[in-house]
Amino acid sequence: MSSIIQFDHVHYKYPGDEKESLCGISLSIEEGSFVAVLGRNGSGKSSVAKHMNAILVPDSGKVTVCGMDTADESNLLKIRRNVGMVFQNPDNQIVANVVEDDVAFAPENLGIPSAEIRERVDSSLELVGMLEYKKHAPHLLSGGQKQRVAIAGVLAMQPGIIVLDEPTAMLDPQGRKDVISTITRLCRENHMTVVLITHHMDECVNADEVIVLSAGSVAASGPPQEVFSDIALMEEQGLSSPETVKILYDLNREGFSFPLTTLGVDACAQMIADALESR
Amino acid sequence: MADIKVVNLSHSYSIGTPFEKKALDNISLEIPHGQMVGLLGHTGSGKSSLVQHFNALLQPTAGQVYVGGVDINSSKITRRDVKHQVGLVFQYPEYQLFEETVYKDIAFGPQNMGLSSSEIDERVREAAGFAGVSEDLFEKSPLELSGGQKRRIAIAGVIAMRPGVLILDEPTAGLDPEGSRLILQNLCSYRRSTGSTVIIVSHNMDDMARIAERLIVLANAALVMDGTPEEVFSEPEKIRALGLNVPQSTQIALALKEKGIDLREPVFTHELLLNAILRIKEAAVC
Repeated sequence: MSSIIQFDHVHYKYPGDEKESLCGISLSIEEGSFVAVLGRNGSGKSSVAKHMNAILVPDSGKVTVCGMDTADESNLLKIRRNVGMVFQNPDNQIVANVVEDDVAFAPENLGIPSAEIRERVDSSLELVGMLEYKKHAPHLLSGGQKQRVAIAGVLAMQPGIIVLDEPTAMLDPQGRKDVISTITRLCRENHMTVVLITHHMDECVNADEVIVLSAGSVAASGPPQEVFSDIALMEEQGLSSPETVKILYDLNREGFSFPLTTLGVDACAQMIADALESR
Repeated sequence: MADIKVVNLSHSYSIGTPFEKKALDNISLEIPHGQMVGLLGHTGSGKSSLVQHFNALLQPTAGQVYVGGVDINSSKITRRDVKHQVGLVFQYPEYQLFEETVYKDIAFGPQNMGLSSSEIDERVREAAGFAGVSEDLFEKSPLELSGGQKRRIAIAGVIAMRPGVLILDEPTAGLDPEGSRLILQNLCSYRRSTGSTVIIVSHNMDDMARIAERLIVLANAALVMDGTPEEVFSEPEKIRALGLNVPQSTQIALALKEKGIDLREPVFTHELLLNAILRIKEAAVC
């Protein structure tokens, strides 16, 4: 696997701000991986996301996407086609009155022949499990369904990378589950690179890598098992480890000795059950 | 006392059109003064429609809503007065900030109530304290602040009206875990020191299990569960069938049970789970 997005000492300050949003950040995202980006509000998560498809370009340093420098304007179209963005509020992203028209919006703008658009719309809706709703009006769908339509709209451009900025913040538990399992499948089965920005630790459990941002720099990165088991780091960064890690940690203080690298509910329960039974 | 009583409340949107939709279907409930209530339910279950009836933003298609014993829809005057007794904080309230300074924004509600400037000042400072807004921010523009700070300012603006009932629609959505924790802590201490009723609409089962005394669950416009967190989360199958989930600690307890470790008591918070496991450990040693 090779690096598909590369940040090299990137500095960025919003016009009018005193403080830099990104302070010399360097990071690398592997092609085909599922990467979660965490950090408190104001840590630079959204600024990082916006650098990934050249909505923002660095004040200094360099962002490379699929080998292209985002600061070079001649690359702009290619980068935007390759990196699809999904934001928090699906209502701000849906433009048409019928689901399939909405999904067709981007490929229509790319000047793609109509037979191919038809094909892309159907396959995108199928990928997110919304094909049966293609004739529906988006405003009558649930939040999770709308967000999946927004994702389908991005997929219809056939990007290699999809960046989601808190896509589940406005959704109920079922909607969240549907969206997370959809993007996990896109990564695992369709080999897309997925970058997920979130505050929900349980959404990162299946990620290949977790990047924790703090004040515009990378505070920690690694597999979720590793990052979440560092309780001191998590607290320092205003994050909260999943209950599975917290309970094992507190049990260890009471005389147990569990490894803290278990994230699944079932595996966690199995370890506790084994320990209790062996006594 | 601003207790709430809802009798056979139904509400339909777009009546008489092909899009007619029942948002609330024959709901009856009572919320005594001072209770901390969590209101749960999937998107579109009717949560927001219900709370908007509590201060007459929506009027019933059928049924009555009483606040402090008064039918709030009996006249224009009662409909107006209830807005001072029942404060509603919408989802993403920071989008409604509009004044030049934080102070003016918090003062907007009390100003409209026709209070004297010294009374307004007292209320602004008190509300800021409850909502965790530092007085250092008073002269700043609310638009310059972080998401969590804006959220707290919007909550302070409603608290400044000293409502007997405070309702918040997803007050922690979009905030980081630390910001969420602070807001919930502030709401708990606000309720303790003022004795106000606090109703929180939420999708976060872990938070609600921890702080609510009572959980009300809506599904498809109807009231389907109503009880303590212990009662509600002791029916995990029912909760899941409603598109919701049980707290993470309950999930671990259920998985333990499947593996033959019965904790023998209800578990819905971290502390309960920890103590229940430690008790089994002690018992095994003896």
